[in-house]
Amino acid sequence: MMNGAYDGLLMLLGVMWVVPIGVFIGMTFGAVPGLNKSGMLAILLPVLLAMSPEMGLVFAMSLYAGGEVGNAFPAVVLNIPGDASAAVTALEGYQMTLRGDGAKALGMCVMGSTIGAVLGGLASLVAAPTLGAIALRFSYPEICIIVLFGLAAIAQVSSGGLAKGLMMGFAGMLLSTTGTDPMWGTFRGTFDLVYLFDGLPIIPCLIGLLGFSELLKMIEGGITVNRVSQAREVGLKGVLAGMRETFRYPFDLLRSSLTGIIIGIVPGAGGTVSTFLSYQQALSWASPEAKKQFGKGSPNGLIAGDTANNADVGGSIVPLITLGIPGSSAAAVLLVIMAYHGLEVGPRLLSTAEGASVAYAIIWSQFVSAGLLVVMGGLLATFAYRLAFLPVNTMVPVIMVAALIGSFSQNQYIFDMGVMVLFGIIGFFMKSYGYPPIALLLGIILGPMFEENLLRTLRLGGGTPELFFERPLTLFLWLLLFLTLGARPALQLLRNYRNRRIGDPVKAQQ
Amino acid sequence: MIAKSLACSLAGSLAAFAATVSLTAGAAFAADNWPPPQMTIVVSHDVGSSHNAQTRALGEVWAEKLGTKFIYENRDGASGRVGYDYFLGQKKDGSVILSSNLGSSSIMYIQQKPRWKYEEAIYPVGSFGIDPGAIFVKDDSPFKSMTDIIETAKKRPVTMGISYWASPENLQIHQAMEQTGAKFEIIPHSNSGEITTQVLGGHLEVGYSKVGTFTRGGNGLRIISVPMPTNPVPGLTSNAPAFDKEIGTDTLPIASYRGILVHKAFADAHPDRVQKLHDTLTEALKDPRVIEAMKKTGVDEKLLVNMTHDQIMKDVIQAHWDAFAKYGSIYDKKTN
Repeated sequence: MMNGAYDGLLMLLGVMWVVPIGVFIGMTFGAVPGLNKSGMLAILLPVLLAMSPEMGLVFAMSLYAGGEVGNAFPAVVLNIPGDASAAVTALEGYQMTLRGDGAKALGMCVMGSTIGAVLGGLASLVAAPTLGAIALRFSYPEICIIVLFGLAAIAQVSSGGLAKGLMMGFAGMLLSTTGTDPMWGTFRGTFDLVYLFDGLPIIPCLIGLLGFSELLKMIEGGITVNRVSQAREVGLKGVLAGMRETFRYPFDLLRSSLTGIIIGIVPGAGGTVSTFLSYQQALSWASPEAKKQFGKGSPNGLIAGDTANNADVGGSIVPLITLGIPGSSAAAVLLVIMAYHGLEVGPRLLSTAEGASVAYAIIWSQFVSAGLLVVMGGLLATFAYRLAFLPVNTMVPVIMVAALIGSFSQNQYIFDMGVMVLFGIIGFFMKSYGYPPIALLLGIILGPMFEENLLRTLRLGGGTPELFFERPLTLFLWLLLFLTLGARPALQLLRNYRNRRIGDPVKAQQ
Repeated sequence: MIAKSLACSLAGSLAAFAATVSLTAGAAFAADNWPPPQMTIVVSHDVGSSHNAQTRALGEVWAEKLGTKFIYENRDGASGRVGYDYFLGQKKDGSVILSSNLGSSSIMYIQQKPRWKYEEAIYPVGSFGIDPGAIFVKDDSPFKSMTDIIETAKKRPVTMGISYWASPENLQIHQAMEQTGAKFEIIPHSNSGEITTQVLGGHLEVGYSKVGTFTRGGNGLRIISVPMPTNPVPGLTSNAPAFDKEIGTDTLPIASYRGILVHKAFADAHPDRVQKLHDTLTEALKDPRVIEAMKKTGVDEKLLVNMTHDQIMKDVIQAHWDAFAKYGSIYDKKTN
């Protein structure tokens, strides 16, 4: 193993020049709304296959890492997430931008992402076989409970009232049943339209609900004022301040990295789930004061999403390297490159000298990418946040074009643009009447995963839900879910009770 | 002034040259305007799939033989329906072709009943490989043979992961259940990676996928049976016996038949061009570069078979439709 790690490092040195190119291209692609990681890797697949295996794989990893940071930029500045995993970034980052902290928010995204990437890389370097074995413990009921963590955020982010949040969450889950059902292949609500066969297009819904609805709000508010009239800290200074401030949240960083790594290693879960789960965890463990900031530009929430999103990269390559099973759609592209070059995959990858070197070259490259994320991400952030200062009458057409391109770019269907506009209008009315768009979004994004794993669990359990309650890991996850949802309120109740007992009515009311 | 005049003269000459080249090329293209300089292959499978990897492995050399360049568009979803519907909406001039799994897409067609008619809209030109089905268990599974599995499944339901419900594998295993009295608890998945993970983790007793899956990462697993009349790849499957031979059943042969299809309108209008597609595909499959590239993606040289249109329609498409006619009701029943 040590030889493999050393040879991998040497192998990386020979192809390291592609890493900055990959990170830069990845970041640029990632910043284009709608172009997700797997889409980007698919576009560049002919280039990746033409390279030597180690170069192609290292280049792909750099693109992947760069893309995860790039998608934060439009999310923070325009409220248009690059892909579903940047929804949390948009939710908190854009609010920070509106209050003049755009540069700082971008700095936090970049630093959170970097720390997530480093810790994810470290996990894959030192514990890949162990993590691979853990990944195999997860089956349908476990993934189902993990998704429940994300869905639990619906109740926690419902600032307009729990009833409204739950209503929207269920509406989102109902909408997510559009398309081919995951078990039987039956078409549901497709109206025989090819555009809906594979389900409701997530990215147009995302852009519509978050970005386009915001645009409509801007128009409603008058188009003569700037979105952001005054910034607290600007330029590189602001970005660096954001980077420094990230370190004031060590627990959020560690918890989110761990969440990202664990979810990353579970094939079928993916980066989007890790960001929502991490966000839900940040919300659950935040102090009452910090909790009030969620949905209004919370640094804890922002860091939670971005850190987990990048730690997930390191996690997702673990099952690829140790089991030959890709943990994400982007990792599936890496598998295609490996197969194309005839590399042994699965446990045999680490047992052959060439395979081990390539595997470790991929792992080491994560650290180089992480270093470059700070430099390139920081520089890009220095310029990107300035978009926030453009007057609204300039930004409206810019955002509109970005939103339309973003909706179109993944499938290249005009239909998807229509979906985006429709969801933009829905989002506008939701915002106007105090219904949280994020709850609808959570239902749409997590609904299909919840449904397919729920149905598989029931089928595997012979039609009964017993598998949810008879395995140690499921019981542990239920306990964790209960603790994250109920521990703080329970502690607060206990504290109130104790304060009443000792006769301190002021503290008791707090 | 002189410099300006020279520049104008040079620019004029260049423009004239460019126009001449363009006209010449245009004339040449008009005389024999197929294949165009660039063609699109719509792949009805996702980017990370074996089918996509094999299409691309073939495409590089086939494009050379055909005298064109290929660009690829992955349009996956709804058991291949997204790719077919998208393909049918493209230009019918032979510049866009489709790469698809012929067996599973024939089931998709007959089960989903799209508005278009297969024989009127689609024309299979040839095939570029067969990836046999594989029934597998975890290395340390107590099942040593398919007979063991069937015997156990006669006493209690055995859990089995398949790629998706409306798949040929499901038909085959239902045929086996009917003929043997065995019972399987079939759990559909969206890709082979999920099945291998669940079998490796011990959550499913048996998995059902394709041999190519194992060469791309099925370690820790053991192929126990190959649902083909004979096992065409004993070396890749530890000499696993053929399903029907071992169990004594008569079931549908299961494999991914990698096929190339064109629009029927194009095939009717230009049979010579369709023949050219077929012939160059045959040439490409004999090319050592393709043989080597395919081997890397898990396809043995002897499975690089280019079937004719008639063979495909009779032995693959019609065979699947016939099996569906007899057992298709299982897709609606949704129970075992």
